[in-house]
Formats: sequence, C-alpha cells, structure tokens
Amino acid sequence: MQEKEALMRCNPTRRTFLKGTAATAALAAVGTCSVATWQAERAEAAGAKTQGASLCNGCSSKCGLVATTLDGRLWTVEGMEEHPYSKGTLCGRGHGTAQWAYSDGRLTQPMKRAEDGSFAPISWDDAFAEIGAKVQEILAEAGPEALAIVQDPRPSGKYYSKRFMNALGSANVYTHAAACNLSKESGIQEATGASNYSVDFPNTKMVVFIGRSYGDGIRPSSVKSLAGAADKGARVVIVDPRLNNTGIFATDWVPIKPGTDIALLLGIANVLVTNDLYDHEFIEQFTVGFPEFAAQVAEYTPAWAEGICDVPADTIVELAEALAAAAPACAIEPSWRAAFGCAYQNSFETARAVCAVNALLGCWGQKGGALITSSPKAGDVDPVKFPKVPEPAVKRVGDAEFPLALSGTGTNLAVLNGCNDGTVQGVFFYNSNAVQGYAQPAKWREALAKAKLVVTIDVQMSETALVSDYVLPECTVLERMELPEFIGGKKHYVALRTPVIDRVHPETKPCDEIFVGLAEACGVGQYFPFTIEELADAQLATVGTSLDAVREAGIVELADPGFEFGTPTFKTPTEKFQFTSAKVAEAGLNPVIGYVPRLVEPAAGEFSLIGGKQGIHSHTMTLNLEALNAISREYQLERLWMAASDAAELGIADGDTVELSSSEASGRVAVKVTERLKPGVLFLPTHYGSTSPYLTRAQGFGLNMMDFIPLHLEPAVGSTMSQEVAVTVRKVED
Amino acid sequence: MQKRANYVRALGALFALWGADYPAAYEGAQAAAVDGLAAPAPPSAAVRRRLEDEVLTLGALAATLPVESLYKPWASMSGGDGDGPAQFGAARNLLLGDSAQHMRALYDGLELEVPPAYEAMPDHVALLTEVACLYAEAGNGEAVRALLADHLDWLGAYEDALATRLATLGARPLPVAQHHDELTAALAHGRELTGALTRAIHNLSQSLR
Amino acid sequence: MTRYGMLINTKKCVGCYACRIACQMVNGLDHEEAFIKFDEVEQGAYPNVYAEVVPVQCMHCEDAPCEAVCPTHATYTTDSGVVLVDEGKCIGCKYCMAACPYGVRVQIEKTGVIEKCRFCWYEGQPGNPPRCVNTCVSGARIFGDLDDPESEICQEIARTNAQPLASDLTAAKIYYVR
Repeated sequence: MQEKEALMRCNPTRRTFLKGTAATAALAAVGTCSVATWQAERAEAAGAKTQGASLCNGCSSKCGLVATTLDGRLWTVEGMEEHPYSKGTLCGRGHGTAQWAYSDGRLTQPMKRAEDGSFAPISWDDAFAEIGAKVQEILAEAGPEALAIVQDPRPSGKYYSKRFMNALGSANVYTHAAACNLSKESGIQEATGASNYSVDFPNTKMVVFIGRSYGDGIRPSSVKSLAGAADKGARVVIVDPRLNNTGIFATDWVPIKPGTDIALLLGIANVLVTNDLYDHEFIEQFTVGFPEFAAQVAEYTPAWAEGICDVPADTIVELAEALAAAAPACAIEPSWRAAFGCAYQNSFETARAVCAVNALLGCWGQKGGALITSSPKAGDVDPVKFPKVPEPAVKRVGDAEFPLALSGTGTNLAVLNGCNDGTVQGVFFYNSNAVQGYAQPAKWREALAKAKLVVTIDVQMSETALVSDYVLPECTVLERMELPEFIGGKKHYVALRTPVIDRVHPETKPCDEIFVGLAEACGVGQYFPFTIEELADAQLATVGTSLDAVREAGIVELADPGFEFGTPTFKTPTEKFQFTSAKVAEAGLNPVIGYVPRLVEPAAGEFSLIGGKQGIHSHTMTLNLEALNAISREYQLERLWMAASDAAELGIADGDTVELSSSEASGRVAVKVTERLKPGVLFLPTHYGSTSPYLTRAQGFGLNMMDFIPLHLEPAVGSTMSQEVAVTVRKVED
Repeated sequence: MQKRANYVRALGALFALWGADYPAAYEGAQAAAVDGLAAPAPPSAAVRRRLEDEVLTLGALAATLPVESLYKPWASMSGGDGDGPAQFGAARNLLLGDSAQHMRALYDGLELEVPPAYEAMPDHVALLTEVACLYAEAGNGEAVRALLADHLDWLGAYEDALATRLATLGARPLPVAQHHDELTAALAHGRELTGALTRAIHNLSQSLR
Repeated sequence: MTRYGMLINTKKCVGCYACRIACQMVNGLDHEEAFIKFDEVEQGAYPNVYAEVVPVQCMHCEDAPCEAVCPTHATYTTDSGVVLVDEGKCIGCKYCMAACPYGVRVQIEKTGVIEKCRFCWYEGQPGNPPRCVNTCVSGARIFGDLDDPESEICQEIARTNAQPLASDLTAAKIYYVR
C-alpha cells in the first residue's frame, strides 16, 4: 500500500501524515480562520469563477456543455449554445453525470481480482506489467486473433482501443452495437449504402416513429426539432406498444404488437404499390429490384398485416394514403435502438422495410423527407510522428459468421461465442458494461470465466468490472482531455473534451494514458510515441483548425459540406437504392425486402416484454449516480408497466409487487398500472437491477431486463435479439 | 490540553491504513490514553485487514470513509447583497466539499502538505486530528477549540453511516460469502473506534472551557 | 414596473427532470430536496389516452399566502414580484409549508430554513434566465416580465391563453399551457 512508504519514516506511535514542518508561528497564532470566517471571506471575494468546455458523457450524443466552476469546484453545467446536439440545453443526465467527479461510488485505484472473487488494490505499474505478461502469453500460444476489445465509442476510446488492438495484430475491435442499433444500421446500409439518415423536421408534413422515443432517449436537438415540427402542424405518428414520453408531440398513437412493425410497414408498402401511390420517377431511376419487391409485397395486404400486428387494416390504409399525400415531405423515422435496433429476429429486415417505404414515398433526400448527410473526419497525419499500424492479417472473429453486420462495429457477441469455444482468450472492455446490458448476463459471465484475461476500464465497479481480472479506473469526463470529436450532418463541426476540474483521485487516469501504458507493457509502445495533445493538434490541422482554436471555442464549425436537397448518391454495390441485395442472398436470407416473423410468440397466459429508456438514465451506467438515483426512487421509476385491463384481470392494483418470470430468471418489482400500454405487453425500463455490491444505490433496485432474455444472435447479423422473450407475471401476496 | 490532544490524534490515526504495522498504532493509542478513557483493543489481523481494505479504502466494497465532506453539505456559500441569499454547490455524499477546501486553506497557511494518498481527502479524520494536536502542541487552545467545533463535529453521522452499512450488509450479497463475518466485525470495530474518538474529543473540548 | 413570471407549456414537457437537477445544482440542494416537483397526468382509456407531465414549483404569487402567515417576515416579495426567503429571519416554524396550496415549500436540512424556487435570484436580479428555463430541452419554459407586452412571455400567454394552474386559488405568476 502507498501509505506504507509515508508511514515508515519514524516512530510509528508518533506518525505524521501531513508533510512539511508546520510554521510554528502560524500554529500559535490566535484568531486563526474558522470555517464561518473563511466562507464569509470567500463570499466577499466572490470566488474564482471559471468556465470550461467539454462534451457530456451521459450518453453517446456527447452534447457540448459549458461547466462553471467556483474555486476550482464544479458548480453548474449548461448546454453549449453552438453545439448542434445540445443547442444551449442539457438533459437530466448531463447535470447528473457532471457530478460524477465527486461521487463516492467511483473507483479510485486499479484493482485486481483474487481467486475468491474479491478485489484488492494494485499499483498501475504492477497492473500494466501483469497484463502485459498475460497478453504476451496469449500472443505466443494463440496469436493476436485471440485478443479482443469491446467499447462504446467515445472520442479517445474509439481511436486508442482500435490502435492498441491493431498494434497487437488483432482485428477484433467491436462496439456495443449488437445490443444497440446493429440490425437497424446494417439494414439501412444494405438498402441505401449509408448506415443512418435523419428526418428533415423543419420541412416535414408527416413523420412516423417506429418505437423510437425522442422524449425518453433524449438528444436535446431532436426534441427541439420535433417540437418545432409539431408546432407547425406536422402529423406525428407514434407506432409503439407503449404511449411513450414523446406522446406529448404526437397526433396519433398506433399501439402495435411487439416485434411486428415489419408487417405494418409492408402493409403500408402494399397499399402504396397496389393503389399506385408510389413515386414512379424515383423507383425507375434510382432503385434496383422493385419488380421482385412489388411481386412479393402483393401478398402483404392490410388485412394480412392486421392479422400479424394487430393494427386495424383501416388504420394501415389511412396511414399509407396520408403518407402518400404528404410525400415527399414525409418519412419513416430511422430509429436508434428501440424496436428494431437489435430487438428481434426480424430487426434487420424491419430496417430494410423502413427504407423501402421511404423509397416508395420518394422522400430520400427531399425536403421534409429522409436525408443522408456526410460526416467530416481527420485527414492523414504525419506517418513518422504517428506511425501507421499495419492492417491485422487475420479477419475479425465473427465477420464470417455474421456477414451482414456493419463492418464499422462488428458484433460483440462474437466475443462471447469466442470465449466459449476458445477462439478468444483475452478481452478488454472500455466504456462498456457488456455483462449487464449486451446479452444474457449469465451467459456473459460463463463465457468470460473461460477467458485467460479480462481487463475492464471504467469509472465504477460495474457488473463487467466485477468479473474482470483487472479493473483500471478512468477519471471522469470533466477531468480529462480527449481527441477531437467530428460531427456530421447538414453542417460539419469538430468539438473537444477539455479538463474543467483537477483530477480528484490521483490514481485515476484518462483512457489515452491507460492505453499507452497497456501498449508499452504489451510490447507495442512504439506505436504510441505521441501525446494526445500532439495527435489532437495534428488531426485538427488536417481540417483547417488547431488545438488552441478548438480549446478556446469548445466547438468549431468546419468547411460547409455543401448539402443540397435532392436524391442522394446511394453508395451501394449497385449504386442504387436496393430493394434486393446480393449480399443478403449470399448470407442465406431472402434478398428481396419482405416479411420475417419474430422468433418468440407468447402463448396464452404469457406476455411480451419490451424495454425502453428514461430521460434521466443511460443504459446500465447511471443508476448509482446520487442525483439520478434519487429521482428514480422518488418517482418509483423502476416499476414494471402493465395495461389496466390486464391488471384488472389478474387482480393487480397500482403499486402492487409482482413476480416477473421468464425461462432465464425471476424477479420482483412494483407495478405501474396504466392505460398507456397495449394489453398483453409489459414494459420494463432498462436501467435497473444492478448486481454489483459496489454500486450501493443501484444494487437490487428494480430488475435488469437482460436477466430475463435468453441468448440468441440474429442470423447473419449477430444482434442480441433483446426482446425475444415471453414472460409470465403473478401478484406476490405478502 | 496537550496530552488530551495527543490521545485524540492517536485515535484519529487508527483510521489510517497501517497494513501489518497496525498493532503499533493501537499500542500508541493505549499509551496516549488519558483521564481513565479506555483505548480500543486491537482486533484480529483478519478483521483489521477487512476494515482497511473494504471500509477505509475509497471505492472499496463497503467503503465508508471518515472524511468530513461526505457528511456535511458540500458547499454553503452565502453571497448576495442584502436582497436575499444565494447558495452554490451540490449536495451530500460528495468529496472535496467546503470542509476539504477550508482544510486546504489551513494547510497552506501552516505550510503543511497533504500526502498524495489523501489528495481527495484533505479532511480525513487522521489529518484533522493531527492538526488539532499540532495546534495543542503550540499551545493554541483557541485554534483547537475552533477546529473541534468546525471540523470534528460529524462523527455521529459517521457512526450512523457505519451502522447503516452494517445493517444493509445482509441484504446485499457479497462476492465472497466468507468475508461477511469479518466485514461485520470490521464495521462493528469501526464504530467502536468512532465512539472512542468521540469521547476523547469531548474530553478535550471540555478541558478547553 | 417589472413583474416577473414564468410560462410552462406542458404540451412540450417530456418529463426529463433536467430542470429539477439543474435547479438543485445551482441552489446547493441535497439530492432529495427539490424545488420542482412533477405531477403525472393520465386521462382516458386505452387506446384513447392523453398523458402529460406537469412541473410544479413556487408560483411567486402576488398574494403569497406563505408571506402572509410568516411570523418573522422572513418570506417577502421584491419590487419585481419575486418571492424570496431571508435565511437569517426564518425560524423554521413551517407555517408557510402549511399555507402554500401548491405544496412547494421545502425545508432545507442543512439550515432548517423553509425554502422554495427563487427564480435563481442573485445580486438583485433573477436568473437570466433561471436555470430551469435555461436547460429545458424542448423549450417548454419561458421567463420574463409580465408587465412588458412586447416580451416573449406576454405574447405566448396571449397566443396560447395560458392560465395559472389552479384558476384563481392564488394570484399565481406561473402560467400553464394545458
């Protein structure tokens, strides 16, 4: 322990903790400053107020924020006016996570797990040395392809994690996408050549949300855009088994059977095609595979669709006709995680179906429609100062089995499988709580237990950290600098995280320092001969600015990308919008966009279970944060939602405790009885049920939805199929 | 005053991390005991280890640190020009609050340095009691009184925190079941130490009247 | 004469609690102490349901009942219509808590004072704007001078026919678009 050195000095019974020879005169002086005097003096001096810029780490939006400190301590935060995502405001997570720096729930030094599962502190030097030795062992025995890293991309993390892994010779770099938006982005990519698009809210006349809720999974600019569109009288349709918190802006709530959005979409497509309401010009000039698609879609009548998704055929027809009338100033919104980011066996195909409807409406690139925009990125930097890392020789684990997974993200469940079959032996996690959130936790634990080395870099002892051999503490975002973050859209920007407060715990480090230390210990330090400032400055120079300029301003607008409305270039192999896709055929699936059912059908007496977000939390990361936890408790936000008619039938009253059960788990939680939910469906917010005893405010508070989900991987895509489950519920009698 | 302050300091030191040297620390406390107050007996090595690793270490499993900032409001700066008060800051359970800032200011004035291990905890009880003792050695009764009143009045809240930790221990499963008994004993011992320190502080402040 | 008030458009509130936390930070409140509380409203039956969130805080009433009952005149109103609490005079008797029909007066644990929203009052001025207004992600809040017909708040109140929460229970100065 570090203490020992300081204490070893002299007579142990006269131990001094405070160093230095205290000024005897000062000690003897009367009228020494009492706390009250000191506070009053400080109040008069009005304290040293400073401001600093950073990017919130409350979620992956990374909204620009301005933090105000008083005497070096954080006072308040507010949204950065110029940042396109915050636009001067911040959601609850922004304020809550800003206080993380001072939280008593943080990791303060590296920890090593003993045989019996308990943790003891270890020095950074020892941790790096031991990890390095283990990595060398794995490299020697199994090669670099046996190492992997899983990370939820952040400005520094996504760069350093990839560089570190590639430097070791491994291509196994994954994001969290398999548990987030992998199916959606892979599907959109297949159809359009872009992995995402946005709705032109300022000009839209009608927008249909499939599961996505801007009011729950908050990005301030999205909420503002939607509010603006609603103010202008746009028709806002929410297709969701639950009337979510975006309902306040909605003109229509279309309750739908979970996992059947694809049937609704194809029913709409059927109406558009059958009644000749589609955009002929767009279809003829810019698409391939329409004849096959049209032939197939003929059977997806509104009546057929109603039978599957439980939305009345009349509604389906009306929606299709209304969209056609509004076209091209309308769109099906792309969503994020919600209903088809990773939820069902048909999620990839649902994403393609969303794109198909937009194609029929002719709204790609149009005012008020679906816009594909560009993103800036750093240009090439000096290869001498910043040595190029050779491309790993072996393909990423999982790519062959999941060929439709977006190449930029891969599927992290390949790591889970790899640990089980011995292909993967060493795993690193950064900014990722995979064990709790990405798939059935029991399966993750089982798999990771077989690995020879598991290292987690985090700010708290998460469920993933808890099963790791080494836990390396990062400092919180307001204490660190990160690499520039490039922001795309109609305008291009670059922004920066800068330290706003001094390091609170001296034994925590920013991730760049951690990865450099790991690289050096693993024998690839030669790829990291630069400081983060040097790299940041070099990257920014390639886009016509500098580190000083961005530090000063917090965010800088880059050269105008010259966005124009009009049909975009579809960067697909056919250079057209793809109603059919050769790649999908190669993967053994139906190449033509068409119907795929969900895997699990709840039987009589069973319920579907859907998850969703709350505005104050971010996945499994924030529940232990003091300010946010207090709100969850005061408003009982952990409750399971149950439809009033179901509750009446089961004799359950609002606030009763129920036992929720699936094939994987059972757990108890209070119920919120509501009219805002389709009968036959239960809703569980996905932030609760921590099992880490280090997260004292979070452990045992509510239920973790993932605990109830069996492990399935979506064919050819590898998503986690996060809602493929049937559950039962019963009232708990005390 | 000096002897009583010495005893306070010796007890405060028991909340630091001693590792294998801990028996010497308890001997020191016993040697410094005054006025018939009974110094706590040293616990077994396993219990002391559990106390240091799991209770007195930041970020540890049952971390309940004797750091003033955690038990006092974080900031309380009343400013304003007569039109009403304004208060700044954030709330409880956060480190580096006003108490810590004030202690830093005191250390600066006294030309004392906070060791790196206490970087985030300049208002740790071991440091607070040491400063009290330094003032006493310099014969500055007023300063001792001020320090006791300003910075050593939260031990009741600390003891409550230990008691709460003890009470909830059973409700939350630990990764290693056999540590449960040791941790229970460690938390109980922590309370014992807190009680002894509280009495010693009371004894010291009485003598300053 | 300046007369400060606020407009809250519940047709835009998504119930994100950002205003509550921002307010706690700037006012030095404990995590369980909040000047802004939220009522959840659900009307109708499936599938014809209307749901909204109603943030409630001190209404800065022109005839503030809390001020009327305060035995020490700790609660007072500025010339600009902001109801404040003089910490030094408050004896913690809680009459104000009983008198407030909105239940928005909160006893601060560290001082014993019964506080409430103070429109982020500092150095003789309200916040510009108050923090809750500043952080609202959907632009549901407007703050301003009710006596200035050109002000955004006056125009919005007129446009939406915004009303105080509880008709004329008190002369409240927070207007709601419901």
